[in-house]
Amino acid sequence: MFFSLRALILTGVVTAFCLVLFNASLGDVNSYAKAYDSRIGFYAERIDTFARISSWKQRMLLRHVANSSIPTWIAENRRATDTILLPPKEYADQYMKADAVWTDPRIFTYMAGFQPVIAWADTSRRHLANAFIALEPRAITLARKGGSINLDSLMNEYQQAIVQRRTLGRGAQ
Amino acid sequence: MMVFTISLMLQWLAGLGLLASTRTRLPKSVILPLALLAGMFVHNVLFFAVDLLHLGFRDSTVMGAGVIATLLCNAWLPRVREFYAWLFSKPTFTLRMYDLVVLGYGVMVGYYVVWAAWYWPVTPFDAMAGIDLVAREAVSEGTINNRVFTDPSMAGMLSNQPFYAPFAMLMQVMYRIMGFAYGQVWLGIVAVATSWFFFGALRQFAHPLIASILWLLLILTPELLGYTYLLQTDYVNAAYLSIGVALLALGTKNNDSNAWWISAFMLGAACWSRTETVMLVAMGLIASVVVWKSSAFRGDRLKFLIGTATLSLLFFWLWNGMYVQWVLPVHPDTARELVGFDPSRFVSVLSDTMTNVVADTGLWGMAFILFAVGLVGNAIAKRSFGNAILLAWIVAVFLGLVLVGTIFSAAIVEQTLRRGMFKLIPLMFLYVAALPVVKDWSERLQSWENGRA
Repeated sequence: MFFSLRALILTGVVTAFCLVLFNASLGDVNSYAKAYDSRIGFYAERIDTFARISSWKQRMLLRHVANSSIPTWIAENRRATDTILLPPKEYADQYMKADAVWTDPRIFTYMAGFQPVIAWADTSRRHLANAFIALEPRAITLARKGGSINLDSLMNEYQQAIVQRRTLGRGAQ
Repeated sequence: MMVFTISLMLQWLAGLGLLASTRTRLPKSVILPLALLAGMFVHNVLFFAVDLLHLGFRDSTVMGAGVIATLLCNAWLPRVREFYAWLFSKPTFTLRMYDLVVLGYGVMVGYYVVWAAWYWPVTPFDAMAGIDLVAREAVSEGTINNRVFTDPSMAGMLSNQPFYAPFAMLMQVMYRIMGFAYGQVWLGIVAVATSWFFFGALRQFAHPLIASILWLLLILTPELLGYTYLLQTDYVNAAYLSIGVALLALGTKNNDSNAWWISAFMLGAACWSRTETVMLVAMGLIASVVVWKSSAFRGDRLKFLIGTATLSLLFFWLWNGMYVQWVLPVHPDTARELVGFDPSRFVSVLSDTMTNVVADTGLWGMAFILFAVGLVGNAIAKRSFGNAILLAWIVAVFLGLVLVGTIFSAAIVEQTLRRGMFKLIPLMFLYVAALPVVKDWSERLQSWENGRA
């Protein structure tokens, strides 16, 4: 029977269960409420704000931040003759809050389409590169031979970043 | 949007046709979501055939594959007519007052899941470096065998992500062609259909109130919920595998082995969505043989075992054996990742899995606790281990995952095995619902609800 006192009692039980499950964190006891809040509740509260961001590109930037903007900037500002050496991740990580996954050629391509790039790990083709990426806090430069940036110093910075990460990694162990 | 709507309808019809052809008769709350998922898979495989025939990926081939899938699946006319007559007969679903509360919450979660899958771009590294990278280029070049595998910038850098089993990648291609900028809306649809299926399936074993509570715990399982809109191969794989096993249990419960055909089909679909699943299915089949014992090991059971093994191997081979080896110009170095079986490593992976993954209630909520308490409690109270076939598959899949973690160096406990656990979560809730002790509570609750107690 849809309506009855017992049906009403059971509905009350289910409603109370749902309210606790979805809303009451109870410290760390109810992981469902915390997970719901971060995965669904967060969006539900801000859906109007999010809905105003209608551009696909803007959403991409919102989610991926520098991992999207750096490859896009490089693709837009490279010269036709440039073959770009992607820096090691350890170097890029120094200038980014997020993990610098754009230094992986697959992610670079995902963000900016196919470009003439060479991965740092691709030692057999590294010598073919004629354009290099120099990062500074909130700035990026495409360095070329004969330009204002000393390429030997830049390569040295790349190497040092790798060594520094390895040392830190060992220290952490 | 037109292509999307028509394709979705065609997938549903294809799935219904498949269920008709196999004479599957289950409650409509189970049949409808099951048909959509089965149809998605058939459409997906035929879309793969489009690439094999070099017809090119575009909206006309998406629709064409959908139409052919629908026609093929509905070709067995006498069975199809009989099925649709049954399907459109008077519905038997009884709505209770508390169902409205549960469904209200469920629909809300489903809405935000589909919204998030539509709104946000693809974020997981594996997807951007693998399936979606291949999918995006496949949309522009019209084939899976595209520049991702040949461009000099990718030489030696591909790792194994672009070679993942093709289900999710082909869905990305289809949905990007349909006009979805990030593709992954299909994942939200799979999540909704899977949740709908288990809403119906849990009620086949337990009182609707108990089933509703278990269902809410299932759909809100923290880690599972996150991956309903994050593009990875794990959720879709878990959906097909767990539904395959659930159908096996439902068929056994209803003495209806026709459901086993569609179970075999869904397990084959799971092998089309993640490569290592073929090992898990093999272990599940061995476990089934052990449960069924050799004396009763005949007839429909034998057909199920052979059918599942054949379909699973076929879908595994189609991608890994044929396409990757013969069509693609480069191949993953799988042999290098195989480290062989080492008992001490097995114990170490098992121990890490238990402590770092299974014991983390932040990932799984009550799922593992309920399962363990249910298993032990029922064993003490009823001197039985409950639904043997479900338990056998849960144990087999769990050990299978640990085995995968042991023999593949690339399978990391905190990543691969953590997401591999998705397959177990729906099965564990179904197992709890099917426990004899829960059946007793269900009967008592039903009597009380009907005013007989």
